[in-house]
Amino acid sequence: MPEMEQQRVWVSDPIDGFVLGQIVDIGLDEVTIKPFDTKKPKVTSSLDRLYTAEEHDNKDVDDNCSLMNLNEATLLNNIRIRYSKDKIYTYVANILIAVNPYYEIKDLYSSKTIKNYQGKSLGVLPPHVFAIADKAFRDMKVLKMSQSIIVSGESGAGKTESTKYLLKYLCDLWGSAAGPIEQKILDANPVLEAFGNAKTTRNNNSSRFGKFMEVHFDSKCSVVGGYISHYLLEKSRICTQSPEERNYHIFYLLCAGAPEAVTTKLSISKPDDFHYLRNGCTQYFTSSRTEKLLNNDHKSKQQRDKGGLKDAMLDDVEDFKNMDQALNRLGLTEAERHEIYSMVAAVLHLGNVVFEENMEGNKGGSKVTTGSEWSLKTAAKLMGVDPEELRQALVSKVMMTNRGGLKGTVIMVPLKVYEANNARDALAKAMYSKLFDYIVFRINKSIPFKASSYYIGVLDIAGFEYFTVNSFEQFCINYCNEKLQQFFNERILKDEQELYSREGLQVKKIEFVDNQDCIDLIEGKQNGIFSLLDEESKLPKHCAAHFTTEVHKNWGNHFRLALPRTSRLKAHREIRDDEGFLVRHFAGAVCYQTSQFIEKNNDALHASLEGLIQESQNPFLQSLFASSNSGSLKGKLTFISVGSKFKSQLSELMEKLKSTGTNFIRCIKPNQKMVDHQFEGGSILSQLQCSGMTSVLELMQQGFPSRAQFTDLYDMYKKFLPPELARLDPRLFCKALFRALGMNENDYRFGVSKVFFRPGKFAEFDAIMRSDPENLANMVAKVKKWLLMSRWKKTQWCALSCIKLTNKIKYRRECHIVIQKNIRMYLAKKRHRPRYKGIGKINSLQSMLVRMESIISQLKKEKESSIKEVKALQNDLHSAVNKIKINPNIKADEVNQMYTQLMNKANSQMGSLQKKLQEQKSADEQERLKKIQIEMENEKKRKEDEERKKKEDADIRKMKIEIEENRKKEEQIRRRQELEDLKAAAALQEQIEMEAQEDSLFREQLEQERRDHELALRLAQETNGQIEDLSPPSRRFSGVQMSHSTSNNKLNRSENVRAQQAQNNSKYDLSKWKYSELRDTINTSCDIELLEACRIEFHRRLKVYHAWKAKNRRRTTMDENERAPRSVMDAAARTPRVAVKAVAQVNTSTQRYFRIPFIRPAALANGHSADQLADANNKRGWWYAHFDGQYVARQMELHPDKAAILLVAGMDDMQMCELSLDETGLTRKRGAEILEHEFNREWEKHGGKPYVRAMDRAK
Amino acid sequence: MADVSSDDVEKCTFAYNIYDTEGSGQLDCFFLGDLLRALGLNPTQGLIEKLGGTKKKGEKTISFEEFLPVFSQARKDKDCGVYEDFIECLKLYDKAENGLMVGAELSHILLSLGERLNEKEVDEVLKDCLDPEDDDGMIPYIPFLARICEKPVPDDIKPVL
Repeated sequence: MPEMEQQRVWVSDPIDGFVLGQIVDIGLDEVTIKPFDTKKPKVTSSLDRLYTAEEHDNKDVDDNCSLMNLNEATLLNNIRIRYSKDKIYTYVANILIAVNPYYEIKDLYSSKTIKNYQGKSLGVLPPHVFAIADKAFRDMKVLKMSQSIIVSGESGAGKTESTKYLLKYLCDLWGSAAGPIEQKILDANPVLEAFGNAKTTRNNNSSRFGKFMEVHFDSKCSVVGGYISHYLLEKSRICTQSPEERNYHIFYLLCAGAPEAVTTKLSISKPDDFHYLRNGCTQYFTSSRTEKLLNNDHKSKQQRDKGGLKDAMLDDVEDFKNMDQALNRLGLTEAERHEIYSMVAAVLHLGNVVFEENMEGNKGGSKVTTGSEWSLKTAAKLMGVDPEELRQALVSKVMMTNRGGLKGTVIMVPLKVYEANNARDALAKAMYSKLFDYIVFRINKSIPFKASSYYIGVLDIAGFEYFTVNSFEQFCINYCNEKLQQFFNERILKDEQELYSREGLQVKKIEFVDNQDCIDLIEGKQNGIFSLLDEESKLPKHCAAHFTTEVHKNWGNHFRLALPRTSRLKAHREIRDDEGFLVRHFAGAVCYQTSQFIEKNNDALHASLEGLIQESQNPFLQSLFASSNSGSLKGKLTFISVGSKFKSQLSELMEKLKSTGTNFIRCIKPNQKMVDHQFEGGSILSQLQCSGMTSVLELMQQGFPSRAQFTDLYDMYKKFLPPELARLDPRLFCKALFRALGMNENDYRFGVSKVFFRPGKFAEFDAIMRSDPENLANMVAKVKKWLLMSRWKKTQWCALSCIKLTNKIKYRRECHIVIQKNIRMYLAKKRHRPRYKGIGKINSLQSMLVRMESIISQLKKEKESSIKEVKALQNDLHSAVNKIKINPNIKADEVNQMYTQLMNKANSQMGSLQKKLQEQKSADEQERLKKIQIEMENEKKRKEDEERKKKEDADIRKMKIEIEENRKKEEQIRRRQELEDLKAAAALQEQIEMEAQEDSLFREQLEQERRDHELALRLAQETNGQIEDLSPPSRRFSGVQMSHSTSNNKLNRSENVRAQQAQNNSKYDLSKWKYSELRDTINTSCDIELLEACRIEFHRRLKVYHAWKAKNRRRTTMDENERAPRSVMDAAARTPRVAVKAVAQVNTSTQRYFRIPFIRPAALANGHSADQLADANNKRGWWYAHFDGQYVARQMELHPDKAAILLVAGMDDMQMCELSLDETGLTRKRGAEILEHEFNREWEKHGGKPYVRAMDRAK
Repeated sequence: MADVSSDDVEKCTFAYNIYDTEGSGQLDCFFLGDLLRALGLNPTQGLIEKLGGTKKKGEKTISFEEFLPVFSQARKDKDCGVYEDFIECLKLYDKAENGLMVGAELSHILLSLGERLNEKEVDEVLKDCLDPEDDDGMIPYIPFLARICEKPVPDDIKPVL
């Protein structure tokens, strides 16, 4: 469509995250976008998920905050572009996003690079994990506060690698004095990886435990020690793995890399031989070189068939040597190492013990198969226990009787085959996990730990996890991530906002979803899921179904919890209600299957196994279990469950994190195939959302991530300053500095105690400051100059203010006097007016006296007496006047009374006199009367003429007056309407507020729903084949009782109502119509009703579109292309929605014309100096609009400095006022309406073509 | 008098005679302000004093011939204030711009600032023209002003901004 705006937009796409496209149609609530990629079909999307694109989409920036339009789409695009250029790191303010490159980028981590990053502020050099490490170190040094770096991300996103580089940086750079300590901290890694990492489908070297590594520093900031805490080793992996996955690396390292002597001694050969290994992948990681070193006996069948697995970072043969040497360096003797390997071997051999039903006894027990007798013996030998005792402990359990027989009698209960299997696996798991604990313990022991002042902790813990089948491990890890997410929110969002408000900065409030409710659901003391699980374990007969039912019973109404059948995935919907539950995590919904929860929550061995190990002849094994001895005696009811242990570990960790300064690294996995240079936008977007980056972006857009205390800055630069500058107080000094450097006011902001910098600006400043002395002197001179100038300005300003104040005081005084003199006037009037008027009236009686005298003079008789009477009357009058004069306080009544008295008197005298005269001159009188009559008639005629003339005059002005009257009438109607509406609005207001509240809740939930959907979609894509099972994301809630209609937006809702009204009125359903169809109809149709309906719909859509555009353009220079003057837009914003009635039908045919002045706001905003201001005033222009019925038909802008802009509906709709006449408020503007010919004159003067009305066209 | 028309002279004579209570042809200067007000002028106290008005009776008198130049002088003072100016004055005290001001503030202004009125005068004018205070002690000032200026009291108490 050629006339549509050439706006490039990002529209969401399930695979690429976002794709570029162009709007081709504006629909009812949605728009249709045609992607530029021709292979993609047209997409219809709601405006909520549509973002405007950057002008230059191929330019990338180090810090996403420097993007012009900050939103999900541009963030993703920036990361995409950078990734394609091998720039895997990106900042969002001071948070680092790291995308796993899956291949080695040259020189990225070399010592030279490390040197480069030393002591550089964030943002000086390209983003790097080293920069974060350096920042943490410098923060520790400057703020004298321990720091932590939280590395999070999905499995395979590169957390562990990032952690290693962080440690390498901290040790390489600052640990030079520590030497061996540094080496030991670094040596911990290969050991931990060997025992705690495994190959999974998602990651070849997946850490199956979480760790928090602390590097300790002394007061001089050199490394003095380290400490490692570990969390949640995945135990189930020891016994079973998925086909594509492997057990812990150490098993394969032993098989492939251990010297012949060791393997023989431990009876270890190839993975195929062991039950615990053979069900998974049995290939080794090898290179072509080490492949040859492998003894054929040690190769599994898979290895022989398919060859080794390839991974640049892994090599089972080499890694054994590395690990062994690392252990050696950590101070483990040959014998100690051998003990460790023996334990590993013992686990493997134990796994090979197989049970079968015992046919001999009648107790239905089990026995060890003859085939696995050898394994039993080998395991027993390695464990240092008697084989018979081991057998006994595996196939039976010891119970103490509570009743029957002597109390405390020990009886042996035979175990069924599956119970014996469980006992064996439990023993293996316990041995391995204790071994792992021991190894961590040994590492910590080997690293000296002198008194430390501060530490930098690096947290490397698995990110949010979701699989088709999720169990207790996922539950724990996701709980952990909820906590971390909350911490992140608090640290980054809440604390940040609190800081801003404390420092008095005006920053808009950012909403974020608080996940406290989800955490309560899991860890609540009373009935959290962990507590419920522990309760269930304490029951004599625990069962998973009962536990699941309890969970649903307790939390059935909670928004975060749902039944599995509400899941988006078919696989989950088939889970029964008592087999699982669905938790809506911050990142999306995860369905957990509860069958293993109880077992996995309890890692205590049963008593006979416990006893067996305590009697072991192997002191090493015994020492492994030593710590747990005391606990086992307390019995079943007081056991410490895995869940509660993790809970307390985690809260300990959170306390630690809260007491440190925090840095975040968000690792991103670019694709599921683990290959380089492949960017799966959709899944990356979902990861970004899961890690809260999008909300951070919103905050940072308005925020000030770098900050410094005035005093700190001051101290930093003090030594460079001449004395007269050093004297300044820190705040003033800072201000002077930035001003003198010409930093833009938008780049920094002064708080109460700190100065805040826009993202990236602090670095600039830093760089300038550290330049050569010459530059420094230059700068100091600048500061001096600026200071002088600003002081002068300030003085001027003060003087002006004083003058202004005096003027103001003077003006007030004048005002007071005006009021007072008016009051005096009022009082004077009140007091004197009756007197004044009375005297005036009485004086008017004088004229009667004159007439009386004239009558008397005509009289022939009684002249004397009449004169006397008149004289008396005159005296009366005089005395009355005097009376009034003398008494200024005389009452009005009194005066009136006097006057009436006198008047009556005068009248009666006059009457009598006239009677006399009448008699005398009746004939003359008659004639005179006649004359008077004629005169009066003449007068009448003249008046009539005058009146006619007046009427004509009135006719001339009639048009104008009518318009004014109409306006007033409308105004009155509107007022009345408003009054009524006000009442309705008040009622509505409450409702709307409630609705808004519900709405926001609802939107929050919708957002969650959307995430759930995306998550499900992703999972579906990864697991393949379930896509068709996916239910479409319904906008209605099934789990939660929500009676909302489908609309999710208040504006949309009211628009919908209107659209429906319009439909009802006009019986046209236009919702399916295309934008262009509407427009063509408007331009060509002859059906008036249809035409009007189309216009309403058309303008409604435009309005929604423009609202979206305005929302998305907040950072660009706004208002360049305003469609109507600001005042009109504002009026529309004020118009109460309820007032809009479907009156459109009534006045479709009216043509109205308006003219109002406007000033380009852009000019105003820039106008700082007086000159510019004057310019701005010159930019005042006129805005003309012709409304045909409810909508604009023609629009014209007259600019003083450029040619007039003429717009006609049907062609230039995008640039025209989209509001209906009622909404513009133009009809209520005084003097805005003009006559048709006035409009047309201007229109034609500027070359506009005559307008053909739709009505006329119809005829 | 060149700038006083015969019409005005007639008006002046009439008013002068009213305040010339004794008919002695000498007006007590105490009444000068009231006389000017009777003639439709709205002088300030300052102006009246400048033109020879006195605060007490019996200090000074003025003849009609002397009065005419005083009248023409007073008339030159164009700043007699119209109703709209008057509203502007009280708008200064309308913090919320809703046509309301604190009642106590109004009487304070009248009593203690500018050319002070005395309490009797204030009581009288407030009693005559002021609407009762609302619960917050606020009064609508536009009706008050309208009554003082003898204009129709508008329905809308809000000032035009």
